[in-house]
Amino acid sequence: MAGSGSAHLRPRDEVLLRVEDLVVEFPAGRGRTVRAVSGVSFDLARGETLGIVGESGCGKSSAARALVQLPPPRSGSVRLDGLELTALRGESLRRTRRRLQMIFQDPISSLNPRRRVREIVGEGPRVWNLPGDRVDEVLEAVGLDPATAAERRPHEFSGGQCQRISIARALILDPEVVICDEPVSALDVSVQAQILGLLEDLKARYRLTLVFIAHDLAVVKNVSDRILVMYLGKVCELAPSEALISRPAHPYTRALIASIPGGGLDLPPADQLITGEPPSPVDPPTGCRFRTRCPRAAARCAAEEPLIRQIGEDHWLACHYPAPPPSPTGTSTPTFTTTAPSITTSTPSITTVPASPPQPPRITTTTAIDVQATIDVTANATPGNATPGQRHSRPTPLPATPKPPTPHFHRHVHEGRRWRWR
Amino acid sequence: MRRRLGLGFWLAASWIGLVLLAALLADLLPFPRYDETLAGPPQSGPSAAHPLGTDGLGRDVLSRVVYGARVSLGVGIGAVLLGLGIGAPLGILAGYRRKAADAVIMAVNDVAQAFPALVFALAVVAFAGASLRNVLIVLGVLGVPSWVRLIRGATLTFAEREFVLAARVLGTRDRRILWREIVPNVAVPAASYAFIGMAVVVVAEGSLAFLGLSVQAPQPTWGGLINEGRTLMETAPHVVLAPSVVMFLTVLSFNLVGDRLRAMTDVRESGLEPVRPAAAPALPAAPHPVHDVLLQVEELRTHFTTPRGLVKAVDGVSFTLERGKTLAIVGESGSGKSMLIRSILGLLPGTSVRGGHVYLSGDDLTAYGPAEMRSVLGLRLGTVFQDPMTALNPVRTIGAQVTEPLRVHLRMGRREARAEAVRLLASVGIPDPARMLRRYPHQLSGGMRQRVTIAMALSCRPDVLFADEPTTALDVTIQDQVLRLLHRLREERDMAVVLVSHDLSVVARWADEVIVMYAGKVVERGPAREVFARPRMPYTEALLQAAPRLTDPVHHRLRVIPGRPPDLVDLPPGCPFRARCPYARDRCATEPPPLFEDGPQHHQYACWFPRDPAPAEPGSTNDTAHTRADTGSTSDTTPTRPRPESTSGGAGPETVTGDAASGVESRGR
Ligand SMILES: Nc1ncnc2c1ncn2[C@@H]1O[C@H](COP(=O)(O)OP(=O)(O)O)[C@@H](O)[C@H]1O
Ligand code: SF4
Ligand code: SF4
Ligand SMILES: [Mg+2]
Repeated sequence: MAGSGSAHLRPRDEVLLRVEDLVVEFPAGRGRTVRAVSGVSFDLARGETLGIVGESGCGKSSAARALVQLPPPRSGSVRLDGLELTALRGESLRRTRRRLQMIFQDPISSLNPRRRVREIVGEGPRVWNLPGDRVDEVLEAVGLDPATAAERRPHEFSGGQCQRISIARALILDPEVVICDEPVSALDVSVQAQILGLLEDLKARYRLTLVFIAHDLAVVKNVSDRILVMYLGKVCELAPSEALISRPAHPYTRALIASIPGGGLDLPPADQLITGEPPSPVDPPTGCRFRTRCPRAAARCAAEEPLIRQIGEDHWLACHYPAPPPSPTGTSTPTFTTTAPSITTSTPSITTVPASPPQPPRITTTTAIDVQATIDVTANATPGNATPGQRHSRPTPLPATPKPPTPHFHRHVHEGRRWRWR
Repeated sequence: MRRRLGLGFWLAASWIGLVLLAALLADLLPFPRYDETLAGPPQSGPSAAHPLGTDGLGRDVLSRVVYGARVSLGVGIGAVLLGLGIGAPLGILAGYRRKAADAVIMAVNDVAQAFPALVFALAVVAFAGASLRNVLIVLGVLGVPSWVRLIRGATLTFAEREFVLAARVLGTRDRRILWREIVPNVAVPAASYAFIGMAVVVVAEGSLAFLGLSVQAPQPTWGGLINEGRTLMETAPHVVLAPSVVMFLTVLSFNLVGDRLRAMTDVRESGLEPVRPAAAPALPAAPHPVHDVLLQVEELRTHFTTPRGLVKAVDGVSFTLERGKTLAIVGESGSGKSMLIRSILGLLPGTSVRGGHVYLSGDDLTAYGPAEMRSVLGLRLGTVFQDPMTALNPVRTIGAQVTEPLRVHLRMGRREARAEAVRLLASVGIPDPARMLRRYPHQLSGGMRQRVTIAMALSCRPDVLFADEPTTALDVTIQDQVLRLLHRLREERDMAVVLVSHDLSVVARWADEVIVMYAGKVVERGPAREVFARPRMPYTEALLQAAPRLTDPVHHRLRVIPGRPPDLVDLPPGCPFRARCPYARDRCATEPPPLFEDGPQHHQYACWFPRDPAPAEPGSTNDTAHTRADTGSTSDTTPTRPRPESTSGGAGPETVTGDAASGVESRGR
């Protein structure tokens, strides 16, 4: 993880939100500093969901709050549609707030106990002098009955319903990006499924771009197009969700997957992949920050911080000695289509033809109607060889890993392409 | 919705109201003015004309007490409002702005608070002259530092809540955040302290008046009246008693009202406070055989009497557990998992009644008294809870806490206990255990603390270890370590483990047996592999499909269980899952399903129309996943669900069963 660098960022005109070299630090008393986020970069295309996973304290929430400049990051750049948020102050910053909204983990503490639901949800329009008549509409959209819910106070609702109210409060402003910071971590399994389904529906209905933060990899995979794995304030690995789960390359990603019972991969037991506890972010290890717990760590890992490099189609990694891809096991083998998914878009999209894992992936370019060209980019995809220039051989910002061609996927891609913004 | 304030509050509030009203309307009341001498015979006791008698100059005592209330209450209320008026803005500023404003305000405040208050008051009043205005100002200003501190503290707690962050994300301006989000929340604790503050000021004014440093005669004040009456104590005690009693009642009332308001301040409390063990009276139990097993729980019931009605938190739970096995209890929050553990351990609050029996190697624990139970709890039953901090004393070292059970229960000497503690900590994977003994809980990470509580639970070599959500608060990689540790220790020590968890994947991996609870009842029970591969009860099935799995495709629609668990207060007759069950039919509404059992595996389920025990079909995962994707609904208010009429349940649910089964194959590894 100890990865830095921004090789994985896509061209500026393709992304809605671009975060570069984000650094968030807090004073820790006695002149020391908590290094919460140290040089993290990522970006989001319109309509995309980026999942961020990592253990508690790895800087997920600090990064999320730095995106909305509460508080602003120590350094780094946050660009929303080309607008540099970190350069804004006071009123001009406030004017951008409508476009970026947030949902929090604790459903109880994120609602003012002394206000009624109608006031809580209607606060946004009131602040922005917009007509407040959409309260009922958004309450209905999040699955609450305005007639019974609007006049009540938060403590009369269950955790899941409070989370729906929080979502309604964020949605009413028609934001472009919604940052969800552990939105389902405090909820029971069945309620969690309700909220995850709701977020997916609302994303389509209100054409949202989501940052979805959680510590549970299975939850993140369920909603995310791409997943960013963080460890102690650094980026470890970034890949389309399916690729990250089926071909994890970073030792920490592998440990995370192995720690989840039923991960579906033939990984060694987690206790062989990770040892000990995370070090303090006040005094992070030199070189690769994961090295104190990494079974593959060598001298170079202490001396030199690994830079983010490409190891596959849109698959990015920060590690000197990545593990060979694991083999999937049993009945839960993810099946990959060998034919190109019939995606009806005007821009070409890319599909990795599944090969037996150790071989480098081949990349095929297809278009809406038929396959136009097949470019062999095997050399580019070889670990260590990627250079920034080769980024542009990827013609689409959308996740283009092989996925089973589900109806859901179709809808997602269609809408992602067609959305036009105010 | 509101908490009850209680009779005391209303009596106190009425008294304050009465005194206030009398003070305000004193001029209209039908008694002589306070300074009218010889309104009656001097020093006469209570009579119809003078209900509280007269003083040495024949003035009406009631009149003087009522007029005195004007000064006492006036100063009380005025000084508090003055202090609040100055202190509240400063406190809010310091608490909300933090940084430099906070540093400056609090530095000045600390200096001000260090001032000897009464000396200051005496000096100022002596210098500026004893008048109502001066007394009020002095007492008001003296209260400012406390107000700043209080309001700042309250502001801080709310300013860090996520709803304030959410308001800033909405783009709300600071002034509006202060007025809309913070002030209403700070107002409640402020109001409660205002009443307590008034009590303090009334006493302070009384003291000044007693020393002659308040309003000057002839205008009466309560302190002054007491002072004057002092000389007549022997002959006319009522002259001193009347103002004393009125002042005492008033101060008491202010304090009482303030206290009740403060108790109300917490809009909702965590409900996590540890229950005091109490001898719960018994509910009758049916006769039953006692088996030759380590732990046998027989028809265990725990009911609470609440203002809303009877809550059956645990309703007829039975199971047996043998050495070397792990029994998992799963269910959503409120399903009664924790209550079941507490009922077994006899750690129930006094408002509960318990029925049924718990046999540990054949001994009925429900027949044990508190002292016997304590020794069983320390020696034969170990416990680990979700939050290790509730089990650890924050002000004692780890060493003191780990050695305590060794010394109390096993009667080890100091040195022996230390050596054993080091061994124990090493066995739970704590690096450098000797150094760890000298540390305090707050110096440890969550995972390390949980290891310490496990070491403590294991110190006396228990037969059964109860772990209630032991890893829920921990990170996944640490969770895996702790669960592995529990498993290893179970093997090494040949004990049994009861593992409570809401996480089905954890249960599937680490448990031998599983009990699924819903609304206080066991709804499914059997070998873990069997239950997860072939759930028979629709709730178990739904729970399995609602949990996201790594092997599911991206954007996979999870099964949504519509609605919420039922309110335990008025549980409908019939099956408790009926309102959320896609397979419910008429019979489910009227007759509660008993636990059926089938197969050689003793797989039990409480359902009239169970799912087919379809064998797992290898390789079917991805296709069936999409079939099931459309059966859920996203909203718990507008459920749409299939209601198959045929007994077989239709094609959809069957494929669902196959899918869940094959998915679990891999996780059960
Ligand atoms: N002291 C109490 N008084 C009344 N009801 C209680 C008390 N403690 C728990 N309950 C009720 O018992 C039920 C089961 O609670 P619990 O055992 O904590 O569930 P779980 O462990 O599954 O979260 C809940 O409905 C809860 O409201
Ligand atoms: S192999 Fe080295 S660089 Fe890679 S994660 Fe381990 S310690 Fe870090
Ligand atoms: S008894 Fe009826 S309502 Fe209850 S789970 Fe079975 S089918 Fe559903
Ligand atoms: Mg519980």
